[in-house]
Amino acid sequence: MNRFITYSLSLFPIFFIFYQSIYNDEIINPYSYLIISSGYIAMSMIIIVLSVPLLFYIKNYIDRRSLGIITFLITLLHFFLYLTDNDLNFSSISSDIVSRNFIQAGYVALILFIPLFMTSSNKAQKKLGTKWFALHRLIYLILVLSLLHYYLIIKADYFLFNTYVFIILSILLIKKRIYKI
Amino acid sequence: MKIFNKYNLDKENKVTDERHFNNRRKIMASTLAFPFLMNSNILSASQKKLSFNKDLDYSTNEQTNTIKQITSYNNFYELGTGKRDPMLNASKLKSDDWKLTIDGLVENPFTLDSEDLIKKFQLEERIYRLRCVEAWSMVVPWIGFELRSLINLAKPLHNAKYVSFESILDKENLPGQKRNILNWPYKEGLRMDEAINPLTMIAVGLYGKVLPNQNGSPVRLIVPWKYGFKSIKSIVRISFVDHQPTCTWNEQAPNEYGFYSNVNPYVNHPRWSQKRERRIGEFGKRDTLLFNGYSKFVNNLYTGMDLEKNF
Repeated sequence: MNRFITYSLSLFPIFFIFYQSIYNDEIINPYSYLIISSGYIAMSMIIIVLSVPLLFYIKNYIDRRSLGIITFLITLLHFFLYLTDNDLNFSSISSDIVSRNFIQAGYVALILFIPLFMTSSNKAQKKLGTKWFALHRLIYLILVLSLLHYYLIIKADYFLFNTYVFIILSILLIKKRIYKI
Repeated sequence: MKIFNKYNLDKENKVTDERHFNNRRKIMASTLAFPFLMNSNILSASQKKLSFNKDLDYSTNEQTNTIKQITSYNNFYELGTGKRDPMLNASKLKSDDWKLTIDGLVENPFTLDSEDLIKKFQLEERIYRLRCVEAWSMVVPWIGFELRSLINLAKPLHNAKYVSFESILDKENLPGQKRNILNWPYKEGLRMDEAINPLTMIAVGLYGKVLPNQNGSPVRLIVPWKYGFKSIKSIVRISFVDHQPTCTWNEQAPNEYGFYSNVNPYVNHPRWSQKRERRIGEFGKRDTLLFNGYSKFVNNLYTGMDLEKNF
């Protein structure tokens, strides 16, 4: 049941932006809208996953691991949208890897995310034991890299970025106080 | 199917001509009265019509983008940094009683007011491609006059080597200028030979009417072979100077935005590949052309120059 609630709630934003990009004629550049929004959604999802332990009553209805899997899938979607935006053109994608810092940060974040996704089953968790928790601490590094990825693409207006940083720092601070980590 | 309509410029233009489009917005606004729609300048169907000739020498015969695309997807940081912000905040730009000052190294400095801008020069419609540095492009039917006819009136002195442009500064009303996003006011510049090139245009209108605020009302520059940010909006001052003038984006990030900023698919940009572009309304991307396809008019301006160094 919790898994069902988690999936349906967290996939809603993705359905929403696809619906918008097709049916809302106020959106003039739908492709760019999809890429940018999916990026914001992915990063917000990481923040939500990290703050689940703080949501005292709601957390009983959230399957945190499903939430993590969805976050990875949205990140993957963001990546595929980027690839298709480049018409899957190998030379433009490879020149991005070589010469664009924000793309590099994005790739590293995505690659680090893969082992977390691969080890999200109960079986893998049992097998890894305490190492599992250490491995899944990588999400903090992924979050930092995502922020870097975002920071490097900003041209001039850092307002929304600063808001994200402020929210993330507040959440980490509260977690530190409660869990003394 | 709706999805196909959306990506088909031809169909879209046939379906929504501007009159119906404006009417539709009016009906919507009056029945629903969304405050954000009421604000938007897109509603002012009563905007003044201009009389003009149609240019055939420099205009492209490509399909033009719709008025809606041109007026609701803008970069005009004075009115906000989101693409829709300039439309939503359009009414915050006070473009009545405009004064455009022409000064600096000229024999004849003068000032143009709102009336002069649309009456003093013979207006013509020019359909130009516009290529944004963010790798999207549009085709826009501007109305205006060649910058060189204004320069001829001013009679620049021999030592006037560059032309510098300055946008409106109004921290009280312009939402974007309430924060130091850029070093306000917005400034741009051209070399004198670029400024007197017949392609270089001062625009005062769009689709037969005076410019909507979000498109740089009441007077803006159009330099079609350079990235869009060179085409400065809502100009209050044009000065003739003997040194390369300050340009806002160049000042913000000199390694990204050069003084020339010619559209050039061969010069790598740290943010966006400039090799390809998405024409707004199209699904796939198309190749970007050197000088945005205006090579035959501007090639001679840059002979002997290393365009990778002077990007």
